[in-house]
Amino acid sequence: MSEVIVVTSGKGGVGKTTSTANIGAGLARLGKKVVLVDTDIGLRNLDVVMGLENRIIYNLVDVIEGNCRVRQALIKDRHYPNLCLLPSAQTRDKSAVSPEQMIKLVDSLKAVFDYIILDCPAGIEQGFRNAIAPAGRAIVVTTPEVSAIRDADRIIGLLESNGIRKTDLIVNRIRMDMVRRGEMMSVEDVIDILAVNLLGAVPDEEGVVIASNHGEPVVGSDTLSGQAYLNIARRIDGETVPLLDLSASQGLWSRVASMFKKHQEARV
Amino acid sequence: MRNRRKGYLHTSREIAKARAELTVASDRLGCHQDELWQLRREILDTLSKYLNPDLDVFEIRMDFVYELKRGVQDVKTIQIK
Repeated sequence: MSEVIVVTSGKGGVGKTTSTANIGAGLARLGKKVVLVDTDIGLRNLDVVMGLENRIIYNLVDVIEGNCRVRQALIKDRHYPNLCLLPSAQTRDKSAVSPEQMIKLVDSLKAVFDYIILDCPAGIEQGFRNAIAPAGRAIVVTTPEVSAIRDADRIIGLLESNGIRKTDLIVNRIRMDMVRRGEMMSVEDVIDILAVNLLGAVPDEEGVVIASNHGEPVVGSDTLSGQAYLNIARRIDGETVPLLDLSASQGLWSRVASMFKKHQEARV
Repeated sequence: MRNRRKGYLHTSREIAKARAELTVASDRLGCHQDELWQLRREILDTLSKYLNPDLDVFEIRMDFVYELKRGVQDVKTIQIK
């Protein structure tokens, strides 16, 4: 039985696409058959984050319009053979697809994949409606900022009113040094306000940007964010995994290493 | 900006949390933030007639029935701590 999950946020730039790519890689690492569907028609990015932008021949709109079969549009990931991407169209707009067509498309993927993960565009318009239509479960991504939390709360309300009962939260880009200094809301603060189940918290690390620059997932790398995404994938798959201690990111060695780095930069 | 427990907010974390709570509550109820403070004051005034609430830890939480197109339809429960 496959599970259809939409990754959404309301606000743009909080890390939906990065989270989608890494959750997909995490589930694939656990041996699951996963397809990631980029539903952001006109502004596709999931292909770039996954490093698959040069392999696109057909896209989601081509499948829906009958220009190709779904199998022809799927692109296999470079790292995990059981992870596929169904890219979005870049030269069309959101009205090219309807929620009913999305449901039909996702139904055709259910026979092949354990997890179908839909990367939702920002906003609450047509693209959002298309993305949530086939989903049975939602993951809301937010950062610990007032604007992102406000939008996340609105999205949670919209998901509930559209019949999606299971909604989990990822708090992204947490900086424990700022939390400790009283300059950033903690994960507990965010949960206190939004009152939804926490799926995981991901620290703000350079490694995420570097991995994205290379078109590679951070999952599998020796970073806290990579471990956090892998834990999130395991929780999605039903495992009980304790929350990661994010304060470990500022251990003695990392502090010494960052001091050394800063010293080098200063010399350059 | 006032804090329920500490009197005044000092860190940007506390300010952000208070702003986020107020904004989310205001959005959910579909009313202005000033009206929320007014509502809080009125509940507090009413309770003060019968009880002696500790103003530093006074907290109100409301569950309500929300409909997408029409906003808040009904208040289900009011929890007062």
